This record gives sequence, structure tokens and C-alpha cells, in this order.
Amino acid sequence: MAAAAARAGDVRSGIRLRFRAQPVWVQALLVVALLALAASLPHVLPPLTERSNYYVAILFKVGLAALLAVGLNVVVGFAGLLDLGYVAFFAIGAYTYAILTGAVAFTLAQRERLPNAVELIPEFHLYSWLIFFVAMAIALLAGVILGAPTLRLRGDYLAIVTLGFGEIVRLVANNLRGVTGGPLGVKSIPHPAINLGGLHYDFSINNNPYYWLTLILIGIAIFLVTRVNDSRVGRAWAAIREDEVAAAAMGVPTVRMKLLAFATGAAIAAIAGVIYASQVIFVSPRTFSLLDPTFGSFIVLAMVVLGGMGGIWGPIVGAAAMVFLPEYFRFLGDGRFLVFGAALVLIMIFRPQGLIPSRRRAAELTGHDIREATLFDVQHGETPS
Amino acid sequence: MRMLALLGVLAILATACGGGGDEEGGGPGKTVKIGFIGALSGDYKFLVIDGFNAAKMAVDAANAAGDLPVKVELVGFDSQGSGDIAAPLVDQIVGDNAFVGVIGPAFSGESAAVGDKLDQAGIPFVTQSATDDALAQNGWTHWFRALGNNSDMGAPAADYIAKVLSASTACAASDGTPYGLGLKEVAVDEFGTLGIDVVLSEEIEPGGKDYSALVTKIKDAGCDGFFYGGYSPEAALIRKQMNDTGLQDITLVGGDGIKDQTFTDVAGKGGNGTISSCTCADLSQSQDPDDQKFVTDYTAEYGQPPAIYGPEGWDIAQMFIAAFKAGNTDRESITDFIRNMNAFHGLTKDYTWDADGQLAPEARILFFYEVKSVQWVVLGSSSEVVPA
Amino acid sequence: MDCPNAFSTWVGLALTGLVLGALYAMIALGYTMVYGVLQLLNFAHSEVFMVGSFGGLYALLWLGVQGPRSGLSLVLTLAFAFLVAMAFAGITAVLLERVAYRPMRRRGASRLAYLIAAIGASLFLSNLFLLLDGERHLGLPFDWPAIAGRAPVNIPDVLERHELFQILGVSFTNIQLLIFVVAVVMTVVLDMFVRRTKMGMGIRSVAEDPETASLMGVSINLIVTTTFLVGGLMAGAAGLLYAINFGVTQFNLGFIPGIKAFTAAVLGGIGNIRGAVLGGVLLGLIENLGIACVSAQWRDVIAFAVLVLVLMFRPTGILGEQVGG
Repeated sequence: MAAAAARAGDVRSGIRLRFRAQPVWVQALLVVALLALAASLPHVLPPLTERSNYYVAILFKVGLAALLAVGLNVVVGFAGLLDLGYVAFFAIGAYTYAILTGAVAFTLAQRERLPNAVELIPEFHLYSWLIFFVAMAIALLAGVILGAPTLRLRGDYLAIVTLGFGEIVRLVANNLRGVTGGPLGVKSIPHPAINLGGLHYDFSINNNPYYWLTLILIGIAIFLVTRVNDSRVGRAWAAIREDEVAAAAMGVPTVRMKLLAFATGAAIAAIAGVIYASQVIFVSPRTFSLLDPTFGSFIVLAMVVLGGMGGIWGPIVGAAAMVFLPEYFRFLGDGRFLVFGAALVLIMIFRPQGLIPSRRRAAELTGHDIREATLFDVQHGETPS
Repeated sequence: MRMLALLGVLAILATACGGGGDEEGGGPGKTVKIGFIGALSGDYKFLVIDGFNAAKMAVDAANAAGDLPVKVELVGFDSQGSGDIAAPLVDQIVGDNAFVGVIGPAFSGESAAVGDKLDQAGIPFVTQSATDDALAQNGWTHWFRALGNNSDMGAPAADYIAKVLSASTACAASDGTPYGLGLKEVAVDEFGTLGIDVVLSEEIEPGGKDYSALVTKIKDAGCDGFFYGGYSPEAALIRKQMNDTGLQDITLVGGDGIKDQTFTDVAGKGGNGTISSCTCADLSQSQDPDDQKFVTDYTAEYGQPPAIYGPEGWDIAQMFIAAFKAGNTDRESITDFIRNMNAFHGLTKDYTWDADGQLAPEARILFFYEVKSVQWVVLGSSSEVVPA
Repeated sequence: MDCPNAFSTWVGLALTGLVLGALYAMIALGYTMVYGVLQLLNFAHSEVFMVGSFGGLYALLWLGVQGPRSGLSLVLTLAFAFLVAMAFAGITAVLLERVAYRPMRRRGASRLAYLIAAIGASLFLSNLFLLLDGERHLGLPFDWPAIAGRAPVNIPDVLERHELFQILGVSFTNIQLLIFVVAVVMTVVLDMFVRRTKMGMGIRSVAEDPETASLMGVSINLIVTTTFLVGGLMAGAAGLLYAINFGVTQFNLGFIPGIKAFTAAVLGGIGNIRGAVLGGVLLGLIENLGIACVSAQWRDVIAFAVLVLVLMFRPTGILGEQVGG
């Protein structure tokens, strides 16, 4: 089993090394090609089908899930921090958009039965794109506030604190009706629109533009995250993951590096939240519970773990699997999660490193000796920092 | 390179295979679908399922009669009464051109959640049970409400507590949902108009089990009238926990959301005497031959007589069937047909709409029901039960 | 802020808080013991609690309980129900250990893998009961037995609730007495078990230093299994009490009490048995008194806030982290 895993790892690290060996413009071209391939999916699907808009909705969900998985992978896979409350940042993004576009105000006015409520129907303005950045900033701030006192805790405790924080965010969103609309949720969230000079496009219930938007964001996220991970920060993360005490002794600023990972993950989740809110039009605290079958903390964690932590494709494949499989297995009906739970257990027993692990993480998770892996990497041209 | 290509191919295959091909063209023999959104399972099932069953019966009969230009398929979407479960389900309806109409959503919260998308997609959606007043104020042009609203139920309920139960002070609680909270607010307003002092007005968490905090506060408040805005599972638990702490003499008065089998099952004998103010029809005593035929057919098909909102579900299905018979098979023309209906004869009432999609006031009904021997029985209409 | 005026209301809230706390404490003991021995957060423990409550339900149904009983009949009925509930829960816990955690132990899995497996086991168990609703599932050609399902299931009224006496103007019922008595007895027995018996010493030694313990001849597997079993028994008793107290049980009964019990365990000091009890009682009080002046919907926020604050400022808990202490 281990030998097979190592061979599989060889193939992948071989591909990865050959990829890295290309000039940067070739790498970019390959990534663009892949993205174009993915982007063409809405037209490759049986295009005359009456249901194609629905299938693209599923693709859109995969895109969002993949974005979340990439973000959580930074926290769990790269920095080794077990965050069980990740959905809180997704919620922050979604609610920031809902609040700043005026959807909350409209919803509340309606509930109060105010006569002028209909004037408050939310619209998307040119400067509304700034909301993306505001959402990211708030999530970053939340990440830092949560992280600063807790990131020094031991692994299990950090997991539970983040779980508690995730639930607190959801419950506060649930209880502060005046700010978030409360348990009844927020409705009538506006679709984005592009109003730039001569270019005018309104997003609406057609799901294709949403799907393409998520692809673009995933591409950007992958690009940024990979660059960061290949730098000193990434190596600091690896050092912290493998032996925090030693890393601190060697002068790695562990708390700052951990906060950076945490904040990055938070920002990515927030962006996903904004897009999600604008497509689904209705958001409520229950979507952001730990156990939500699509975006809940546990499910996104499972995407990362099952797909393979620490790499890039692992979480994305994990996300695709976690969204597609329940659709395929609709005949299982409510039994989906029974099978899913059993699958989680079995995979943790037999292949804890996931489907497409990064070689280094595979070695760590199966308890194999790490030294061998780094030596191998060095022999193939990676320079140690 | 291989890996990337492999993944790309897998992705395409995955999405393509996920297809399952509905390649429908137009013309005779085409299938149109009607969606039914509501709690088909779970705690709230018995408030919704009879509407679904009745609609299915109607659709099956219409298909069998063979005089429609299309084949009609009723597709149930189990939202368990929750807006966030309904929201992703609605993608299936909106994204599939075969869907030309929706019965429901059954609850007000989920109606608010998914109504915008349904309206944007141009799909006519007629609800058999969502009574929140605010739904009429969204500017939706494809929404219709086939029954009265919270104002029609909450005020008479408060009147009942004041005049029939002769309460001097009132406690009010709700589950915080658009339906429950809205209903409670109507009742509280009416209490104010009647000069009854509302000494407690609280929200509880739906889905919980332990309402001891609320019950303690009710006891502390010392009221002799109690109105609950919300659904049956919570109402039944509150009734039980009130009985356990010596409050069994305070009658629980609620709206339509408590009038189902779940309430009587969970509350048992302790629920006897509970009152529901409901804008729903009970055909069990009706002498009208159409009503009796419906009840007989339904009982034969499903083993028990139709319960809450069954007849209304049938009526709405008939609206769509009438639209099909008149040759309308796309979303806009069906919406126009329904909007232009004038005194459309249904089992429960004759349907005419106001400009905002609500039922014309003269068509709305209101009955009081009481639990007697662990069964909901009709007491009479509002004018019969509550003195002026 | 409108705080209740009557002193008796405060007393009432404190009393129900203590009762709730006793229940949390019993569940918390399971979390704390397993953590002490394996450093594993057994997420699936909340489902063990749920299974216990269903076990109690089945026992009552099997006995044909239609209405309240009294006297000897009541005592025997309850005793039987407890045995069955505890057996269901204990067996579930042991199976969990054998099927899920032991193979991982053998393969040297990481903490993260354990945690995810625990989450998977928790999903499996709760969804299992969700599906036992008399319909077809998973494409299997038969109807699954209708013994649980999505909707809440009523518990037969075996115990007629009546007031025993009054404390400071608040009635104290027989059910509340039952909960307290069971909780106290269980805790005392557990404490004696851990401190005085050989097996208990084995548990403490493995909790402190597994390698040395095994060198000294302690069978780690046996200890681990026993720990899970004992935790499961307690959770099972708590499950039955919960069901009797609230009159219902449901497939997802375990989620919130599970997290709160975990909070209690952490509050008192994870790994510490007395800590778990202290934490449970404290959490029950904090929750109930905390919502006296605000709406009851803040109850869970208070519990989680306690969790976060305790972990931030005193992660070892009030009494620290030793199993025996």
C-alpha cells in the first residue's frame, strides 16, 4: 500500500516538477488552457437539454466548493491548523454582501410592514464591486481576532475553539435580527451587474456567468496560493507543521505565519461567500451550520482531506467529488450521508492522505519518515531555503 | 500533462454523464412539470403532505382523462419547510424549462426565500398554505395565495381568547418564523385593540425540545390566555410542558400551523381543548357532492380522509389543469390565465385574485377547530364561534 | 433587559440548570475519559448518547408501557429501561472503537485522521437512525424498519411527573430527583472504579503514560475498550433520562447536547473526571441563569462563548487535566 502510494506520488511529483521546469509563460498558458477547458463545460453539456441551466448550477456549486477547499487547504493542508469553523468566514462574506447591498434593510422593512419598503428593493451599483474587498477585509479581521489568542493552542484545542467560533458566528447571525435578518434569513439579494463604460451586463438567473466568475476566482486563488506556498512563507508553514518547537527555535515567526495562513483562508472563504449570496438570492444562518451538506465546515474539511491535503488539485478533486457524488447517488436519497460517513471512516483508516496528496503530506500523515522525502526533493533540484 | 488532461476529461465526462438526458422538444406528447415545494417529510410533514397527495390525485386523473394537450408531471421537492433547503432545490425548477408552474411553497419562510427566483424566472407559483402578510408586498407578478393570510387568522384568535375564554391578561409566544412571528404580532395588536394586557411576548427556538424556560416565564407572568404562533411540533411540546408544570388550565390557541396529526400525536390527551384559528377548509361535514366525491376518492387512494390543506392543493392543481386545457403550456401564458381567473370554482372557495396576488377578501374563509378526544374537529366559522 | 422579578423564578432557572447540568456531566464523562486515555476527541460520543435514548425507548415499548406506572412496577420498568439503554450505548461505543478507531491506531494515524474519522462515524450513526423510518433507502429491496426516522419520536409516559416538595417556592419533581440520583450514583461509582479497582488503575496509567503502562503488562486494547464501554454506559443512562425528561427523542438528539457536554468536559479540565462533573453542573447553571434576562435563543451562544473563553484563557480547565484528579 505504501509502495503504491509512493509510486503514485512519484508520478505526480514528476508531473509537478516537469511543470515547474517550464518557463513561467508556458505554465501560465497551460493553466489558462485548463481553465478554458473547464469554462467550456456549459456548452459541452447536452446543450439542447431543457435542464442545462440546472446542470450549470451544479457546476457553480462545485466551483464554490473548490474555492472553499482551496482556502481551507491553506489553513489545514499548508499550515497544519485544524480549523473546524471555516464556514464562519464564508458566512461573513455572504452576510457582508447581503447587508451592504441593502438586502437586509429591505427584508427587515418588509417584515415590519413599513409602507415604503418597496423603495428599498436592493440594486447593484457600480461601486458595489467594492463589497468584495470589504468582505475580505472583515473576514481577515475576524480571522486575526480569532486567531491571535488561539493559534498558540494545541491542535485539538484549536479545532474545538474554531468550532466554537464557527457556531458563535452562526448563532450571532441568527440572533441579531436587526443586523443580519435573524433566523428568517435575508432575501432579495441582488445579482451583480457590470456597468463599465460601454460594457453592460446584468447577472441574473442564468448560471453560466456565475460559473465563469468562480473559475476566474479559482484560477486567481490557485495562482496566489501557489506562489505564496513556494516562497519562504510556504517553507515556514511546512516547518511549523512538522515540528513547531524546532521551527520556533530556528527563528521562524510561528504565530505570524499561522495568522497569515488563517487570514488567507478567511479571505478566500469570504469571496466565495459573496458570490454565493448573489446567486442564491436568499441566505440564512442555517446554511452556515457545521453540518450543512454542501458548504458546512465538516464537509469542506472532508473535501480537503479526502481529496488530499497540501496539494492544489487534491482539494479541488475532493470538492468535485463531494458535490457530484450526492447528485449521482440521488437514488441513495437520505442515505447519502450514511454512505458518506462510512466512507470518511474507511478512507481515514486505509488512505488517510487522500486521493491526490502532496508527497510531503502523504509521508507525514501515514507516519513515514520525513527525512527521506526532503532528501528526494533536494536531489531533484529544489533548493532548500 | 497526462494528469491534467486526465482530470479535464474526467470533469467533462462527469458533467456529461450527470446529464441523464431530458431532450424534450415541443408538440403533442410533450411533458410539462409542476413543482410542489413543501415539507414532504420531517416534523412538519402533516401540514403539507395532504396538499401534495391531493394534487397528485388531480394530475393523475387529468392525465388519465386524456383531454390535455400535454402530459403533466407533478414533481415533489421536499424542503422540510426550510428556506435554505428550498433555495438550492429551486435551481432545479428554475433551470429546467419543462417546469411551468409551482404549487407552494407551503410555508411563508420558504416562500420569502425562493419567491424572488421563481418570480424572476417567470414561473407562476400558487401557495396553498403560506399566510404571512408580507409575501404580498414583494412586487411579485407571478405569485398567488389561495387562502387567507395571518391577519385573517390572528385577529379572530385574539377575539376568541378575549371573548370566549374571557381572559383578562394574555401571554403570546412564537417560533420567530415569518409565519409564526407575523401571526403572533397580529394577535398582539388585536389584544391591544381589545384592551387586554399582553404580559409576555417571547420567541422560542423551533426544533428544540426543551421549552421549560418559556413555561417558567408563563407561570411567572400569571396570564390566563395564551396565544402561540408557530407549527405543531413545538406547540405540542409546549402544551405538554405546560401541563407538566401545572398550567393545564390555560388553553393554547394557535393558528393553522398547529392543526395537524403531529400535534395530536405528540400532545396526546394533554392536547385536548387546544384551539386553532384556521383559514383552511374542512370538507368532512360538507353536503356538496363534489366535496364528498373528493373526500371519498382521497380516502380510497390514501387510506385516510384529507387533512389540512388537502382540498386547497387539489384546487390549485385544477387551476393549472384548466390552464392546460385552454391551450396554455408555457410559463407566461399560464400566469396570465391564472391571473385572469374570475370566481374559479374550487372545492373550498371560488377563487378571484386581488392585484397583489392575494385572494379577494370575500373569498377568504376562517374556521375554528378544537382538539377533542385527540382529534381536530371543527367548531364553526368565525362568526358562529366568536360573539361580535 | 427585563430580568424576572420573582426570586422563585431565579431559583426555578437555577434548578432546571442543575438538572440539565447533571445530564451534561454524565455525557461529559465519556468525552473526558476517552480523551484522557487516547487524546482523541470522540465526536461520535454524541451519537452514542442518542443511541442510548433510543435503546431506552425500545425497552419501554417492548414492555408495553401505555401509561404511567408506580411502585414496584415502576422501579422494575425503569431498571430494565436503564439496562437496555446503557447496553445499546455501551455496545455502540465499543463497536465504534473496534471498527473505526482501533484499525487507525494500528496504522499509526495522525490526530487529524482520527478527528475526521470521528466526524464520519458521527454522521454515519445519526443518519442511520434517520433512515430507520419504514421506507426504502440506498436502493435496497426492503423497507427499513420503522423505529426512528426524521420526526421526533414520542416516549411512552412511564413516569407521571409530580411534585415531591418545594424548594424556595419552586417545585422539585420526581423526574428531577431521578436525574440527580442517577447522576450522583454514576459519578460515585465511576470515581471508585477509577481509583480503587485494578482496571481503573490501568486506565489511569495508560492515560498518564501508555508506553510505560504497556511495558508493565497493561493491555492497552483492553483498557481502551473498557474506557469506551464505561463512557458509553454513562451516555446511555443520560440518554434515557433525557428522553424521559423531554418526552421525545430524535435522530439528531445528540448534536447540541454533545457539544455542550464537550464544553463541560473542557471547562472542568479535559481528562479529569471530577472536572467533567463540575464542568457539567457549571455549564448548566451558566446557561440557564444566563438567559434569565435575555431571550432563550441566546442559550447556545452562551454555551459556546464559555467554550471559547475557557480555551482561550484556561485551556487546561478549572481542575486541570488529570484523569484521577
